[in-house]
Amino acid sequence: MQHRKVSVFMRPALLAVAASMLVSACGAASTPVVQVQTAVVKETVQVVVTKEVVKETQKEVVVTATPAPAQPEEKFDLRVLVPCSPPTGDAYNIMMAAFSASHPNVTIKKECTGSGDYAQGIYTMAAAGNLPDVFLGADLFTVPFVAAGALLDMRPLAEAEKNDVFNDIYPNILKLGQVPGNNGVYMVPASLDTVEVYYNVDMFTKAGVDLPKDDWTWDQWIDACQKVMAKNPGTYCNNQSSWWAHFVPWIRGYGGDVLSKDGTKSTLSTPESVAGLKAFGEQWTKYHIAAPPGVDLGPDPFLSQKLITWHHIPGFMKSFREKATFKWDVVAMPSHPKGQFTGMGTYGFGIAKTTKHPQAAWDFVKALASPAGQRIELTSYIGIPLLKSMANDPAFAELNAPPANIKAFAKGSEIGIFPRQDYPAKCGSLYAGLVNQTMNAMLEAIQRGKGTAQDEATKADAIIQKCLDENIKK
Amino acid sequence: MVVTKRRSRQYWINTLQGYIFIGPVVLGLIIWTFGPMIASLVISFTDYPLLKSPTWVGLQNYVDIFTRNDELRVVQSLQVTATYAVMALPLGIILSLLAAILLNQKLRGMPVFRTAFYLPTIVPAVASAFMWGWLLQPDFGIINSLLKTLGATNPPRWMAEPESALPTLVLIGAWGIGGSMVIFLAGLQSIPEVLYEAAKIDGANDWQMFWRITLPQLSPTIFFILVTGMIGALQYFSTAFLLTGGTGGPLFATYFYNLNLYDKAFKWLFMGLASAMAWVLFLIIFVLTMITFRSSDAWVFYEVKR
Repeated sequence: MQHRKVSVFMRPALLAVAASMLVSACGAASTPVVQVQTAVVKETVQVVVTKEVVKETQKEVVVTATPAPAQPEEKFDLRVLVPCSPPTGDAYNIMMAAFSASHPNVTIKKECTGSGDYAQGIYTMAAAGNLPDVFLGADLFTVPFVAAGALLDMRPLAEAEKNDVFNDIYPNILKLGQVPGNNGVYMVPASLDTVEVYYNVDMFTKAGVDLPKDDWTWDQWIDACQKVMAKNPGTYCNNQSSWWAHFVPWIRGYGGDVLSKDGTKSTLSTPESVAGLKAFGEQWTKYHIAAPPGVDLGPDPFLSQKLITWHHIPGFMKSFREKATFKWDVVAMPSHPKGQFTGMGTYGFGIAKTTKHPQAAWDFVKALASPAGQRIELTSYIGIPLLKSMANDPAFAELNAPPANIKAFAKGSEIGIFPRQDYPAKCGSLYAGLVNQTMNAMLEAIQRGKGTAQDEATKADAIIQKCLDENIKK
Repeated sequence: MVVTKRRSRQYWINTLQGYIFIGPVVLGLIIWTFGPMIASLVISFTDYPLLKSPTWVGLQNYVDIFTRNDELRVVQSLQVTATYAVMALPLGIILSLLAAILLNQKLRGMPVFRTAFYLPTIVPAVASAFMWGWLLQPDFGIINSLLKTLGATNPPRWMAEPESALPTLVLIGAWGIGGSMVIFLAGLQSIPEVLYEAAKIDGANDWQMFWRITLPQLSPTIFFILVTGMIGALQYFSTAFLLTGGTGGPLFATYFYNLNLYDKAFKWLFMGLASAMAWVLFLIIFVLTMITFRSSDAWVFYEVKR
């Protein structure tokens, strides 16, 4: 009998321990640490590879590559982590071409990684003290990576040179590589990436609707969308979503903002912000022009012509040129009652704070923002020059359509806004954590008509404000 | 009187060899399982944003789990998980038992049917999740197209609506009953034929034989499937993660506990809170497993008393 009691007790205990192992195992299986580590493929990049990738423009790169400062003869490796897919892979090739010509003593160790859970991979590498010398960044990563002490401030390296490259970059796009209250630059942005409107010219033409123009208002767009959709059953007009670069411009366009100027108050429920959120939500609830939440239109819905327009950054041009079976073009984001606003966000490259070769890493990274590098991005249709000195570069005129109106992207230097980055770390940001989750919940309820903009914004404000109050005091 | 028995040299060699053979497994268990478990227990009492050193916060994470539902949604995700378990567990047991009974018939070609029922179990979770995602796509999916062809004017919107998303996951889960079905089949085949013969002689009909013989004889199997199924349901993650893009949508209708835990650990970088959540789940599973074991005396029939 005694034996049985012990046995009965032990079995659940053992099962519970086994369960906990499963919990641990589940965590481990889902952990991006594992994904990233196993996905990393080290390869020594040979010059042959470089030649293959930048065949068309190789000559230009070599000629205009920034002369390297006096390098020690010592040979060393520079680790570079980059997603091995376009357009970031293309940007890497630009930097590689310029760098390898001027730094024969440095071997680039390219480490490829998938883009999924990239941030977690970087966090894990940082926590393990194993960051590569150079790695891909993006506007959404700048603040958390800097807060984590993972990134080197490149401002002193730039200022030590004759021509400070940062002076020529549009200030709003440079901001994406900076953090509030700090003049440092932690990411060299790749391109003037603003969200504009790709549209299917054929669908507009066949529907007998006037082609859109850069100065259209949202009202004009909604009207045109409804007409084109009526002629193409089963399609939706746009991919507007809970991405900040889609909805924050609506709030700004009605005179509101997500945070007060000093960053201490969540201002989603001010009359101006609510008006913007209401108008944003009416794309789903009143006009039915945006793809409903939860409806999966499959891969590449613009290419498969399930979406009439595609609101995104210039990085899609190359793919659309290669794959689209219809005529397309781009126009600037339409304007709201208080002006024209659009989100901007870009990838770029940063240098690990722990690097032993900061100068070599800087020489590698800065090639991306050089006129030659920017020109290659433009002529490869992977980005728009972010240098003020290239606003009227002859390369624009030499480009073949589509898009015929590529200058619409350049307008982003005037109308582009960047995400508020002054939320305390504990509260997250527009990309992650509490702020992101709360705003997503608010937007989804509005999009689905499950709550009014006023009610949902008030609820969201209360949650975010509580976090601001608790953490700003600290 | 103490009797000391001198061990032979061979005994010690055998013992040493035994320990050497099990050494790697024991070491692996200590280093890779118990080590992280203990580490997670310690971390659960800290505020640990991964990239900065952990700071001790005592029981704060455990308090936050149950008091800050507006922000953390832990209680909400626990409710979602419990609701799923309450729906999926009985349905899974009943369907797999029914399938096992059908596949236990002595008919020609039965191995083919058994294989067909078991096949979904070997399909990787990711592949099956994406397959179901496409099949159940509300506007273009095959299932709704079929329903419309059959005359349904307003077919369900499956994962696209908060009201139907969780039941949809339950239905998807029912596709993978093959594992339980095989265990039930083994259980059915181990029931002595003489019991049925005796019952027939006594005039029992099929229904009576099912209730009085099959079910009691299968109770240890049901017990096993109940316990393992309950643990699996409370740890539900991958299909919801894949079909909702990790959001637990729509409107948090499928925000399972483990999805929330994953968010807190790897998106929010609240490692301390996530560790505390893992231990709370451990305790919930532990308690429910204990209760199930305790209750088994009342309903599980063992031919040989334990």
